[in-house]
Amino acid sequence: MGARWLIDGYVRELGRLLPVGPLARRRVLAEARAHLDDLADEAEAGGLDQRAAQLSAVDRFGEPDAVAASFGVGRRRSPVRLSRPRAVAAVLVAGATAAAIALALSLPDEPPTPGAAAAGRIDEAGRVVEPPAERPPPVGTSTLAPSARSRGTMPAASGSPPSPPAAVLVSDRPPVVALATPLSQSVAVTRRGRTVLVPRHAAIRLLDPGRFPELRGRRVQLRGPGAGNGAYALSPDGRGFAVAADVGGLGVELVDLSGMRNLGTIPLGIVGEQAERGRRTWIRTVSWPRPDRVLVIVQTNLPPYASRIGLRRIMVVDPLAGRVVRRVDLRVRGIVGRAVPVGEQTLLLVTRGERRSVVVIDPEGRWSTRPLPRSLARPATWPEPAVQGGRALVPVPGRAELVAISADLEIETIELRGETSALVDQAWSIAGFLPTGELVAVAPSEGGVLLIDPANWTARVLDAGATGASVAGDLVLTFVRPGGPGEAVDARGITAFDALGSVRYRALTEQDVASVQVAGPYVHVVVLAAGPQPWTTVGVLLDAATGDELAPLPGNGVGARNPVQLTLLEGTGEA
Amino acid sequence: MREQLKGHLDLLLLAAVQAGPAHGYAIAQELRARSDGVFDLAEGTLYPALRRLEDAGLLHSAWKTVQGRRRRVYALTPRGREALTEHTEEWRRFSHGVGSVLGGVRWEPAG
Repeated sequence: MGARWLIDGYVRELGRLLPVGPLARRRVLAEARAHLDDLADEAEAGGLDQRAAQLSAVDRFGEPDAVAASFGVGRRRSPVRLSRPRAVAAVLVAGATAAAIALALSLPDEPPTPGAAAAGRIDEAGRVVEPPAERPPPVGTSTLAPSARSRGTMPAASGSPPSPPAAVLVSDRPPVVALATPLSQSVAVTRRGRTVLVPRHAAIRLLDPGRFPELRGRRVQLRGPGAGNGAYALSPDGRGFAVAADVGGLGVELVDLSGMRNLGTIPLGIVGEQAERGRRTWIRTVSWPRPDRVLVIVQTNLPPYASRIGLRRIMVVDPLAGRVVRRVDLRVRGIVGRAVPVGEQTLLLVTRGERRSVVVIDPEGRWSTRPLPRSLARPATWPEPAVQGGRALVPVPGRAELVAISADLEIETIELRGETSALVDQAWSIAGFLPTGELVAVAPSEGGVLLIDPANWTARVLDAGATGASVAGDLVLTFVRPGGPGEAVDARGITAFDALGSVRYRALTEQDVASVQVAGPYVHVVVLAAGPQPWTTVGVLLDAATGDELAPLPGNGVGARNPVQLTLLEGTGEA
Repeated sequence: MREQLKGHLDLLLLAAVQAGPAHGYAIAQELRARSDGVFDLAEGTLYPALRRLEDAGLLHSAWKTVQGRRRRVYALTPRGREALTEHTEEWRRFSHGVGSVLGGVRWEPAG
């Protein structure tokens, strides 16, 4: 390497322009010089002569005034403004749809306003009463479906970690609520009909779960979704719906699903975004553990860079009285996951570095934390647990272990042995539960759908060749997920097994199945269509019980790169 | 593309040093390679961003001699690792949403 006079001159010029002090200048110039020399070396190695290599290097490094100016800008700006991914995400998502639940920024500043009213309320018998009462009614023992408290909550169907909620598909035959992935805010639930929340309009509509035509009936417009990441919760009986809102401040918007009425928003007394202070507060997750208690976990992110997690608070809301009744600081460090109801308790999974813990919160906001064994350490994309009865089942990809949380919330680690060796060293996920209580697990990388009995943790292979599964009533629908463009696929359609392992039927046997979504009695199947476009898809509607092809779904617009993933979220109790 | 890239540079820089400590040139190479050349920015603008992240406590740096050249090597701090995890999660959520819109996922009545 000879003298690099062009680079020398560049560095001198950069030094002259840098708006920093002498110490910082020395450091910047030393780094720049090393970088420029690396670039020149690279260019020379690529065949350029020395002069051309230097020109290439300074060109790639950038104009000296632009580089120098970027230092000045960086040092004058508030660090929080540099939190671009969130800011851009918030702006774009908000721009894309008024219903978007962007990454809301706000700051808890004022105490909650007791009695600040929702526009309506659910009475103690579960009926909707007119809004808003001047004086909140006394809180008593609610009769809102205590029998429906232990609902099943299931993470995404096989293959991928759960995605954030966006649209909710609901049917009441059998009663299910399902989440579809992407975009923004929408939710829905129903009465005797069916409901889907259409993302773009943030309204709850009644749709037929077969082909999604809108049914006649009232729409419910959501007024203020936009706080947090789309956090919401259903009431224990599935008739009430609480969603994070930001209407001049954070709040919880309540919808009576049985009557399709918006009950209004209960303010949390927390102001909205305060970007000028470089802080933001957002609703991390919502839980509705008891008819008269909604728990809202609010998180504040602090500067610089909005990267420090500040205070977390549990806001205990009484939806019957329409007010916040308690605020409890939640002093746990790490990243908090979605709230998962287990009976009247609410679980939060907390990830901090390699450590994991479970926070258990009672309906009054009292909380305790239980560390998980270090042997369960794994990356932060920890699937949400599946819940059945009083047990929370936490899948641990890459390990043949489960964490079982029993009805009394005592945590124990159980290693799978012997006949469960098929699970060892595979990343697997939970597809759902059969009515028998057996857990349907999928090992997508190696293939194989298994049934696990949570009572004794024994497993048996249902379909060794499958890489995806969904549960439809008492059937398990298995399929093989296609690979990427150009990869060979094994067209085998869908195989329906019963709990005994017998094949009940096969459907779409000539098709490559990209995804299977179960919505009540129907199965929506995304299949790859033959043709020059490798990702062209068509949707097919099946009868879940028989596998009969009911209708094509030409209008659903689902792409194989991003097939709609309906996540069976909750059953509402009554079949 | 450069303008779009700037908006997400901080997250990308954190991701680029996730695998291990790296100096500025190596980080730039990493960004270019992992993005198949899509992320090709004026490499000098990495340094102010690296400094900001360091000031914010998300990166720390030290001088080291690497391949005969004295370089400032950057590494994630524990806080940086947490920030990366959280921002990545948010970015995936966001990009998933955008991708769905562009990809045509629609839940409008078919009838």
